Amino acid sequence: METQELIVGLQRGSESAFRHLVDTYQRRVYNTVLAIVQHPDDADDVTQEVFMTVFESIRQFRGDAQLSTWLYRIATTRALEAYRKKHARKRFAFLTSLFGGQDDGNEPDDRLHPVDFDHPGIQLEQQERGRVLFAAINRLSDQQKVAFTLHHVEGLSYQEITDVMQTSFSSVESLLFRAKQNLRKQLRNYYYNA
Amino acid sequence: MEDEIEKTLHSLDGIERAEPKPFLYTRIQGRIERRRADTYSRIWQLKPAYVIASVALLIVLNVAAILVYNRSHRQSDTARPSIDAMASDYGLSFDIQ
Repeated sequence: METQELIVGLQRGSESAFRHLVDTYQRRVYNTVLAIVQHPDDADDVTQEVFMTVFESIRQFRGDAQLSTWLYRIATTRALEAYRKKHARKRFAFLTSLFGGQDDGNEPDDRLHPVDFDHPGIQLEQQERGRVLFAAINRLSDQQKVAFTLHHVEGLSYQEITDVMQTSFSSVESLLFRAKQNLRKQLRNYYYNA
Repeated sequence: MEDEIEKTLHSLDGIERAEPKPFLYTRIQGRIERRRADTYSRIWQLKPAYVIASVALLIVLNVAAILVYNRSHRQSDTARPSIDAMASDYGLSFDIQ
């Protein structure tokens, strides 16, 4: 199915078009979301939300961007929202536990105590290093995290990232440069203390 | 140490895409159905609001009816002496012994 045909089908509410969209883009969306939220169940939940957002707002899609660009934009926005929401809740639970409130203790604040995240697509011999890198990615700013993820996890070009993030080419270059600088600094601290 | 850092920075080289759990489409469809059902139930939840509005309207109508009735009754009381005078002028009044 051609992309234009797919968009028209989606805008007409065609179930087969929606199924085709999910089948075609589910791995790209899930992989992007997973790298940001760093939790498989949360990534699954956010991926479903991304496709529901597409289902509900496809009529607003004007075709001025590629469908994949639009999907990446929704996916990164939703993933960052979910990540922030979860960690705000955890920080609140942490604070209430400090003041003697009840904390279920099941979910530690992984900003304070990073949770080990193994990306299933990393080669086995790189798993340990990947875990350290993802913990460092977690501490990047939202913009740097998105740019780095799209480039290094999804393999998008600078121009594609420019379209997804609706910014300039030089901004993307700068974001990726600063992201690498920050990662190097964090890794230096990590290996120095290890 | 710099070598370790560079190796870790390149640990994502050759990364493959992660796969979502199977039957994603079915789960999305289920979620869409649930959201639709929630929307309908929210409409039902609005019903008490309609009921309260209807009762309020009924009360307002009743109060208005009572006020209108009282006003017209008061007007008929003030008209009474002139009716009696006219009746006596025409010899139509009588006292019951």
